[in-house]
Order: sequence, then C-alpha cells, then structure tokens
Amino acid sequence: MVVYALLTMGVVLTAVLYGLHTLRKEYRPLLRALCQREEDPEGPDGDGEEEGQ
Amino acid sequence: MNAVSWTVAVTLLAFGLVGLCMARKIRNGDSFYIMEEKAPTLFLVCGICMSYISVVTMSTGPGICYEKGPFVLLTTAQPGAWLGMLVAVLFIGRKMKAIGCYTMPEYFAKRFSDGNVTFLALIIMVAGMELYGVSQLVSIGRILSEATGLRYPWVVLLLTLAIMLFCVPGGTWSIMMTDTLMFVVVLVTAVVVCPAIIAVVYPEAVQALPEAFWSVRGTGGGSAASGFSQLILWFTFFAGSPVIITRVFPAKNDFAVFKAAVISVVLIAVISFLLYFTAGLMRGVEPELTDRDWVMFQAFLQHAPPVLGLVGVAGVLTAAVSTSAVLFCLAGFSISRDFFSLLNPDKQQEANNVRRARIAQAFAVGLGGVAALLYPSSGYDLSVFACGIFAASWLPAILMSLLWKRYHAAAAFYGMLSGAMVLTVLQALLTAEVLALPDMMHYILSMGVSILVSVAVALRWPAGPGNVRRHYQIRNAQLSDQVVREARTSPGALPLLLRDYHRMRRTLLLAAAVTAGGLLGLCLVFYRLVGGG
Repeated sequence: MVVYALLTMGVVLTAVLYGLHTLRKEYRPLLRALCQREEDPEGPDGDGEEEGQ
Repeated sequence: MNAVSWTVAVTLLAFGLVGLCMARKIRNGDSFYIMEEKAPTLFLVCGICMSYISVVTMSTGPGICYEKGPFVLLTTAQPGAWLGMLVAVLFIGRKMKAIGCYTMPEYFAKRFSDGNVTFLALIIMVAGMELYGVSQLVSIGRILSEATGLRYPWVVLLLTLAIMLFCVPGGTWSIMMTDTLMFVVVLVTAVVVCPAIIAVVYPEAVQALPEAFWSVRGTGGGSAASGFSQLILWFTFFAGSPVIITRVFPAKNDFAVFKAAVISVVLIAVISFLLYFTAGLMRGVEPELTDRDWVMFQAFLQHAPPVLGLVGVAGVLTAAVSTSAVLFCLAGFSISRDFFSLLNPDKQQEANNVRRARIAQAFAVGLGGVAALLYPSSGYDLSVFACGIFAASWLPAILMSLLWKRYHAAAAFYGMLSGAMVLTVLQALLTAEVLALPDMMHYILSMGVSILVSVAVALRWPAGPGNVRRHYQIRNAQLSDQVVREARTSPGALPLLLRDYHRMRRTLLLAAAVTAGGLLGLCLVFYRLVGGG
C-alpha cells in the first residue's frame, strides 16, 4: 500500500510541477506584456491608434 | 423482472433522457463537436475519469486482482496509465487544441497536409474506436445477460439504443453531461459501496489469504522486469488514446485543463484502489468463483446491503456505457467531419453540418451494435488490441511529428501503416496459436517496427520546406495564445485572467507542497518498513 501511495503521489507531483512550469514559461511573460500594454497602450508593445495607422 | 433488470432499465432510461435533453444545446457544429469550448473543470474531470474508467476497470481489472492480488495491477499498469493520461492531456491534447483541432485525424491533416496520411489516420481512428466500443458492449452485454436473465442479443440491442440517445441528439454536450452524472454513480460505487463491502468481508478475508497475495508481486510471482514492461505498455496505451486526448478539446481554457488533469489522477487513484482492494478481498471469502470477471457483481449482489449493491451494478453499467458512447461518438465525428473533408476539400465551410454529424453518429453506434451481436469475442482482448493499435501506429507518429522537424508525410504514413499491420498480423498468428510470444510482447514489437520504419524513411528522404514550416507553426502554437486573444478582445478580461492565473498558481503551489510532504513522509515509512527495520 505504501508503494501504491508513493507512486500515486509521484504522478500527481509530476502533473503539478509541469503545471507550475507551464504557468512560469508560457503565462508569466504574456501576462506581464498584457499588463504593460494596459498601463501604456501607446507604448512599443501596445497597439494604440498611432501604431495601428 | 428482477431488481438488477429494473436497475439497468431505470439507469439507461434516465441517462438516455438526459442525453436527449441536451439536443436543445445544439445551435451549430461547434456546439455539437466541442461544446463551443465552454466545458468547465467539473465536466473535464468527469469526462476524463469516465473515459478512463471502463468495463476493464470495473470488471476485468478486478478479475485480475481477484486472481493475483490487488497490488500487482495497482503498482504497475495503473501508474503507467496515469502517466500516459497526463501526457495525453497536458502535452498532446493541449497542443491539438491550440491549433484548433475538432478531431484527431484533423491533426494529421494540419501537420502533414497529405491525403494519404489523413486517410490512414481516419481508417485507424474509426476501426480502433469501433473495436474498442464493441469490446465494451460485448463485456457488459455478457455480464448483464447473466445478471438479468435476458438473452444476450436483447441486452446488446437495449444498450445500443441507449447509446444512440447519448450520442446522436446532443453530440459532445450529451456525452459530457451524461459523463458528469454517471461519474457520480461510479464515485458512490467506489467510496460508499466498496467500503461497505470491505467492512463486511475484511476480517474473514484477511485471515484466509496468504501474505504474498497483498505484495507487489502478488501470487503470480511476476518479476520486476515484467512489472516495468506493464507500466511502459499501459503508459503508451493511454498516451496515444484518442478517448483521453479529445477530452481536452471542449475545455473552456488552459487552466481548466490543468486542474482537471491533476484532480482526475487523484480521483482515479482512489477509485481504482477501492475497487481493486475489494476484488482482492473477495478471494478470501469466495475463492471458487468460476468467472473472475464476475467478481464485482458478486460482491455487489452478495456482500453489500441490497440498495447499495444495486448502486454498484449501476456503477459497472455506467462505466461501460459511458466509455462505449464516447468511443462511438469519436468514430462518428471522424466519419462526418474528416471523411467529408477528405472527399470534399473545397467545401470546408460545410464540414460542421449538424445533420450529417447526427447521421454519422447513428451509423457508428449501429455498426458497433451489429458487430457486438455478430462477433461476441473476448471483450478484454479486444480492448487491449484496440488500445495497442493506437499505441503502435499513432503514438510514435504524433510524438515524432511534434518533436522532430524532419518528420514528414511519407515517414508518418509508412510508420503508422507498418505499426498497425505488424500488430494485426502478430495478433492473428498468436490467436491461431501459430506463434508463441511472451505476454504483450507483440505490442512492444509493433511499436518498435513503427518507430524504426518512421526514422528510416524520414532520414532517407528529406523533408520539404512546407513540412518544416508546418512543424514550427504547430510547435509555436500555445494554448496560452487563446487566453491572451480573449484578454485582448474583451476589455474586462485581463483582471479576470490575472485572478485566474494567481488562483491557479496558489493552488498548484499548495498541491506541490502537500504532495511533496506526503511523498517525503511515505519515503520515510517505506525506509522503515524495508530498509531500516
């Protein structure tokens, strides 16, 4: 039973760590860029009217 | 009619009506195929769990536990299957969703842009899904025929009609809604009915069974190498399983997919443990069962309180029916969407026609029902063979196409074809007893042939620029892009997105801390038990 619990927790931990890794790798830079754009819509990252034209 | 017959009739009728009611949710092809990508975490959890928990989990798996001991499967095949499930959901399913796939053959069309590869993928999809669905129908048909006294053809006919109600009117909406409700029945079976049986039989069973029965090797005396090969084999079966991969497509966003994956593993671990432990204990109180697949039914009907026992019967029935419904549904989707697109490449805008989709669903379910009537072979062997087809043909092709830019259409075609053909020929030779191989070795051999042929063809002929471009397009497509698109289009979406992100991060950090702590504690217990005395 201990082996089974060990294996279960190992698999769950793998999934959780992969989730944290994805959040860090994919979402953090994107959200940072989006927040920056919200604060400064006319900036280089934004797509304000001037840039659109 | 006896109590079991009434339980079966009421369960099928109730879920059939739910499936029928979901027809009003269907407004267009998107709602029929992928629920307009609105599925919340709850739907995904129940969908993944019910795709995983089939008649193999509820009947054949417990049969093996009854014979060899519960921890033989729990420590080899089960962890392998969970890991495979995580790869299917988090790696393959997310990637396919990110590039806008509605079905799995669509991925091959987008990645290789080659009619032959798409056609072969479509044939494998429909044949594999139908075989797998038929195996579920055959298994549950035989069990119910014995339990209710109804003749086998009538049971199969009733099941086929019920599955039509699940699949035809509401497509994925029906499947997801019935899966959610059916999961409640399965969960109650595992966490209420099984403990009730354990409480009754435990004292007598533990005294009657030898200590080796509860060990990792069980009474079969399997080696560590065979246990490890089982783990790898079940990993490949689930990593390449379209049933699990396509559960991601209706998800409302990426966060829901991650939460669903983690919660599903925990729930499946708990459910499997309770079912298999109960089946193991049954060996102690009823050591002379002639049909080992009957063990859970015997436990529910003879050792549980009457009402709870009938809930258990409904649990086995729903597990089989829900998996069959998903399988036939996916086969129908491939016929109505991918086959149509292949025949009419210039009419892509019509690929989502709901009427045609419903006709294809009815055809796929009807074909499965007829096959189950005409060919009532061993359900378990057929299930494993169907899983093996995807593991031997699709899995190497999908993984290599995602990871290797030189992997092109010819390599995928010959790799998939050789894997499927070698497996089919070996299976036929083994069934005819012309050839003898160690258990499950033909699956490993056919996977090996598929990989070797793929690599040889990919290295022999260079990949064209279009292939490399498509590879990078898919590789760079992220599911997070979809979330960002939403944040850009609607003004209030960013605060909500930030809230979801922080909430998800906190949840995962907490889960990581709890799991790591638990793992450490268990390691200490294990060390004291094994090494430190």
